[in-house]
Amino acid sequence: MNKQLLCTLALTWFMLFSTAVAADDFVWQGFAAQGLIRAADSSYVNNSGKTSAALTELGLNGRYRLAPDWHLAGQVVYLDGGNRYPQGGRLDYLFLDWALYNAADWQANMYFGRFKNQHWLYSETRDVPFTRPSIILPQSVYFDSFRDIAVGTDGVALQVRNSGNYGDLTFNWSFGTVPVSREQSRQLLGQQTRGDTRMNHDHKASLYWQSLQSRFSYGIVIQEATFDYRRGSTELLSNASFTSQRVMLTARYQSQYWQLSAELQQEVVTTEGFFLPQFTRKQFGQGGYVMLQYYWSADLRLFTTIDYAVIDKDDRHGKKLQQMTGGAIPSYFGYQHTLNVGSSIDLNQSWRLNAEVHWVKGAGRLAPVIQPDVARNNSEYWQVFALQLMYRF
Amino acid sequence: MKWLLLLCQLLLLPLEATTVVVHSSVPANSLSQSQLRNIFTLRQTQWPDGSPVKIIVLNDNSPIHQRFCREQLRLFPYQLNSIWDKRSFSGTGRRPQQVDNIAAMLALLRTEPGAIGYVEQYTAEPAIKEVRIE
Repeated sequence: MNKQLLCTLALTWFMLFSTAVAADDFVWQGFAAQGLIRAADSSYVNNSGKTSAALTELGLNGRYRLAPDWHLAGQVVYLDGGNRYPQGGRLDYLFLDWALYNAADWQANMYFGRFKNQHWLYSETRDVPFTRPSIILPQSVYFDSFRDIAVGTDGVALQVRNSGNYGDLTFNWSFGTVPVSREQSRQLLGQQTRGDTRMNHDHKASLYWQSLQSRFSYGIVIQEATFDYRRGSTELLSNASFTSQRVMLTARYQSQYWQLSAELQQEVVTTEGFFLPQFTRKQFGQGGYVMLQYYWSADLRLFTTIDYAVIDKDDRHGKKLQQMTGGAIPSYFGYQHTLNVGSSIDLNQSWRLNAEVHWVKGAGRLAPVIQPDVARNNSEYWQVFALQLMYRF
Repeated sequence: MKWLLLLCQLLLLPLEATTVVVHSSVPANSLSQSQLRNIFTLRQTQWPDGSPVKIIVLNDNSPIHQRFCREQLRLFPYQLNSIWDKRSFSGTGRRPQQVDNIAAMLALLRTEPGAIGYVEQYTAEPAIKEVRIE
């Protein structure tokens, strides 16, 4: 979305709602975060590997009550994450929320428009610095290059909730599509590509159970997305279609002083075309993470994550990948494993400081994924240091 | 150290259960524990007559809030906060109104139809009523 349109939307939003309606019907909040990040020996943040200030996140969101059962909600953000995702403004969500049933034990809501992905543990809050557990989320599940595709969907969604002596059950379903900009397409497929990528559909469903008797919660997620690539008139690549089917299991344990969360996923990516018209490939990627958070005090939190991702479960060390490409793509592009440690300090209710370090082995989750940037990512081992100051208002 | 403090608290301070209170307009005299949890986790957003639920809470560091979360909701304050952040930053809910002390909570409970909060000790008054948790 271009900046002018984004500014117009944001201004219209606030002109309409901040002055003309009763304060009780409209609520808004925002966040601003700036940090420093360094990812030497990789193009994860920038091409130089030097310390960068490309860790900027600004956001403003609001929710307006149109009628007792209808709300309108929206969020605009500005991001600068270097190579992690395209720089600029975005409309993260803008949707109508219809509370079609709201009783003591059962509730159901439908969402129309661009709504947030409610299916993964941190998908709803990955774009808000204060609400995600670390500056960089585990890439096996929260792949930065897919950020804009995974944050929200244009379409329709349903959430049904039930509660009883067995605990709380939440079912989510969504169907729609996501616009893919040319910049995003190049980031995913390769900077030299000249064609356009279009998502045909994105279909997700998830079920979460939180037991009343224990501190565990569990979830299962299934999703399918299909994309088409239309080649540019001057390039040698072919038209292509990509299908991604993912199954994910999640679990979380929350105690007074610590929290353990884990998400495991298997993703089947089918490619038809692209390199050649008759080219077909089906890859079973696998990954997952385990994150431990310890609440040292009300203000200080320590965390560590082990993250594991392989592009093809039958080629966990990337040897086939290297052989198939005649050595053009090194084996370490077949996986990416990370150990992360960090801490966050709440300076007061509005300010937080996060610091973390990631030790990474492999380059399988570095964009672009279809045609990797071998020249810039010439090291199997690399690290990320990140420090971010966050403010909410 | 934390265990020592907890032990001191258990030995020295009699733990009084918090009492759930609502504005007199709320059409309920009792709630199940599951309903109460649904309300404070933003799952149930309306009272049976369709009027909106307005949640009022004390700050996270308030001992009364911490006790309310543990005893009545069986949740820790950070869990509630994370649920509120998730709902409010995804546009699917509204964060409860946070106040600094019980006096401010009572003041809001008296004037806001549909409001729900909690106190340490309930003193009967026309504008606020106690809700039994079953």
